[in-house]
Amino acid sequence: MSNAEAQGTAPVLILRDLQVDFFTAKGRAHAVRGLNIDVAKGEILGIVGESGSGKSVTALSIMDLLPQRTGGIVSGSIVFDGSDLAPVYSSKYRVSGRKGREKLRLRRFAARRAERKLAGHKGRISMIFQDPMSSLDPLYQVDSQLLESILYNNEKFMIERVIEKNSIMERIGDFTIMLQQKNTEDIMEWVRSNYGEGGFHREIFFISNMSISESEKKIKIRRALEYTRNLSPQERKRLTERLPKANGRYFRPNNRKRLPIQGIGNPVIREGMLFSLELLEFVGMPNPENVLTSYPHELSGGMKQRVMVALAVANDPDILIADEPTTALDVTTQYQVLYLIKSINRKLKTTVIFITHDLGVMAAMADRIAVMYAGRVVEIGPANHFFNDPLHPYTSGLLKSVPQYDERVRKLYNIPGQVPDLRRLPTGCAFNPRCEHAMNICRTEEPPDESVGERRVQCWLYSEGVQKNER
Amino acid sequence: MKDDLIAIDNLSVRYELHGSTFSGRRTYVNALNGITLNVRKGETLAIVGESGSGKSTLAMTVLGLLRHWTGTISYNFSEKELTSAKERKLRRAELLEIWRRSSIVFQDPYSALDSKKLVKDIITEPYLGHRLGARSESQLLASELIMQVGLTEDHLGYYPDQLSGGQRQRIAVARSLINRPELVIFDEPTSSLDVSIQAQILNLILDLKEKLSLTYIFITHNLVVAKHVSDRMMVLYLGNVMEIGETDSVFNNPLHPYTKLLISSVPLPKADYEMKQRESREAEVSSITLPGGCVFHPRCPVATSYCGWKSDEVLQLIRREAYLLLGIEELDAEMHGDLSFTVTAGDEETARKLLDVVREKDRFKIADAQLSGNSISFTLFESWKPSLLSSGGRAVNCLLYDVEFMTAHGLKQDGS
Repeated sequence: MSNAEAQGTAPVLILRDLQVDFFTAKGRAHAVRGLNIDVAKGEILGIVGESGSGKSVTALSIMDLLPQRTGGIVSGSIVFDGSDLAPVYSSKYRVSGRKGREKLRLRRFAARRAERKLAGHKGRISMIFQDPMSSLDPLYQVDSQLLESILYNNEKFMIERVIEKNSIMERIGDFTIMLQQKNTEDIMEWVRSNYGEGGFHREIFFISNMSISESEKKIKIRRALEYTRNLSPQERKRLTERLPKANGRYFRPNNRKRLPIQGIGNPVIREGMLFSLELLEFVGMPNPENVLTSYPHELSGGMKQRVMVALAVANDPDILIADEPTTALDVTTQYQVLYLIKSINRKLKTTVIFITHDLGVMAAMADRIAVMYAGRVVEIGPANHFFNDPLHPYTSGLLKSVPQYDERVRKLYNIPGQVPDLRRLPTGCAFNPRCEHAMNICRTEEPPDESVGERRVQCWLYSEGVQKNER
Repeated sequence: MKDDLIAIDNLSVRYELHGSTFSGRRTYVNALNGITLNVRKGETLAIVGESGSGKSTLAMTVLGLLRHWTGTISYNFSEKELTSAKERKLRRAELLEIWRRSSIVFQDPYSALDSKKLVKDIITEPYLGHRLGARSESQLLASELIMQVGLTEDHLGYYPDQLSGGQRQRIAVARSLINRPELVIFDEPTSSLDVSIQAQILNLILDLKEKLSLTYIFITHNLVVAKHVSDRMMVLYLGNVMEIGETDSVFNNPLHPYTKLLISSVPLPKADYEMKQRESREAEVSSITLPGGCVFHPRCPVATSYCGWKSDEVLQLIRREAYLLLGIEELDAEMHGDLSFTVTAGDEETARKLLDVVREKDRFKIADAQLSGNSISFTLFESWKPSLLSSGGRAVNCLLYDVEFMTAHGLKQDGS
């Protein structure tokens, strides 16, 4: 089981005591209150909870997408790849002491400083949003949006690909030798032994992982090479000696029909375009050539969500955050998108944080499940425990309130009451007004984190030395 | 029939596409194509299907909110029978009668309630609008109803934006009941709510049905919810009924390939649930140009040669296969109507190879292929249009269950 593997490796993302507040007219809303999660490498961590439980806010704070003026990370740390991102994120917004233009200038400085600090993390965490229509730019064709993501975050990789392909072309002259290898596995092996990991190797890796026939894969590899025009000596020199800076230099509003890939002069853009095409094929898009030059409104919901997935995996991220990616889709399309995300996790070993409120989707996806309630993780543990033996009263309530497929219960269980107002949380355990096991201590003191086997739960029922019968 | 509340016969609805009126060639979206359906008194009928299958159009037609449609709808309300047909649409007074005796609960409780009105005015509006009684009576009824939907009388004085999603949906339910309807249509009432709130609303809806002996039409795309609430279920695809029957029997033994696809797509909240890779047959289908024969055949995993394949569909398949297996990028073709076409390859050798490939593959649905020089002429089978065949309370719209068709072509009926 990949779950067992995941347990052995070091966590790729550590959230410690994360606290996110929003400042509203009626007071401070504590959206996330002391969150502790370790995300293991290569796992799919599911986060469930009702709306207002802080699932999305957690995701947004990892991505540094929180609204700037009205809220932010108050305390805690987001440790990714050995460095704490939280202070860098919040440094952008906390510019104190000055006013007016001076303050704006300082803020701009702070933002630039933060950007420099985060440069190494560009494109390593990416996110798929719930509503594909409002996340894609309606004014740009799909290829521009893919190109933007690829070139802005990972232009170096594109340039490497161009150079590497050129050196392959120069050395072997005729790539038919390579294509004579029996299957794509052999081709991959051949490329790896000759050129090492990365670059062109990664491209063939992409192609070899597509769910298509062998002959189709070979055609794609041939095309990947054919589109690579030989660079002139000047171009080559420019690309190898001095990497051009990115920052949207390549993009133009494309209100005219795009040129075919061969017709693009700039080798890096051409390579990026080709890579976009491969990405669309990778996410199983029917008819990718046409999709590349379509506007988002011309695509169906499932296709748009596939474009979002392609955008998210474009830079081979370490962590992929999927925030309710299938809520707006039909069941049949949902199945395909879920399968796609799962196969990305299994094949590319991308860590996935999957947020949903649909427990069926959770069962299909997650290795480990964290249940959030009022800004805290009330229970976290392996997925099979979650469904078979839930610990926290809220978790068992959630499970009981879903209509069952095989047995017919006339009356569904429902958790009484509602999610509390985050500005006026009840004292003690936030769940105590809705809990049927609530004890005296639940109303006065917040429960600590308790370990039960592989799981952690925040509930007084599992604490030693608490008088259980005291109501 | 006596115990049918609504009988729909051969209902078709098409919308004209915006901007096509004066363009010389009008184009239409075929939202519903010949629906025949009975809604029994006191039952809950679930209508499931993907978006664009015509679920909401059906609800709107039943409520008399659309003007242009063909077919017949008969209403058999207590003490009042009405029939609406293409030839004789209902008059305003009769429509009012329908609106008085039926109501609808919409999907999004955030946009369905007027945010400028107090909850009590929202709830009593249908009552006063239909002139069912005095304002004082309506207030009494409203406070009675708001208790029935599990809120308190205090909520009557609130504005909708002071309430949560679940509470708003309760108010929408209360509003739909104040005119004492016989038919209530729910258009995805829980799809924008959280799981625990969904459970509360579903319980409420089912309780009220028992108390007030109502008839429900429940539109949803969530099959688990459909299974939970409904007695009978109808599966719609591109405006055609694919399957209809008792909910339990449809779920335990789905007959139509589309129903099977839908049911197998629902992930179950179970620890041992595993996703399997499926052969994806994605085809671009739209309700503007409906596929011929069975509308589901381009996506159907078990489609036969007679399910409505047309030359352009098959040509597309051949082109793809030629590209994948033989590396041919361009393939000239000439169409001779829907059922035959000629393909011209570069030379005789390639043409022969292509013909071998096509003959090998079963899914091209070719009746006959003739090689002459470097061109191949293909002929396809005449398509059969499936019809809704019913037996024992179940009805399926699929050729595989058409005994006449199966025996005519010597096929075995194995249910797969």
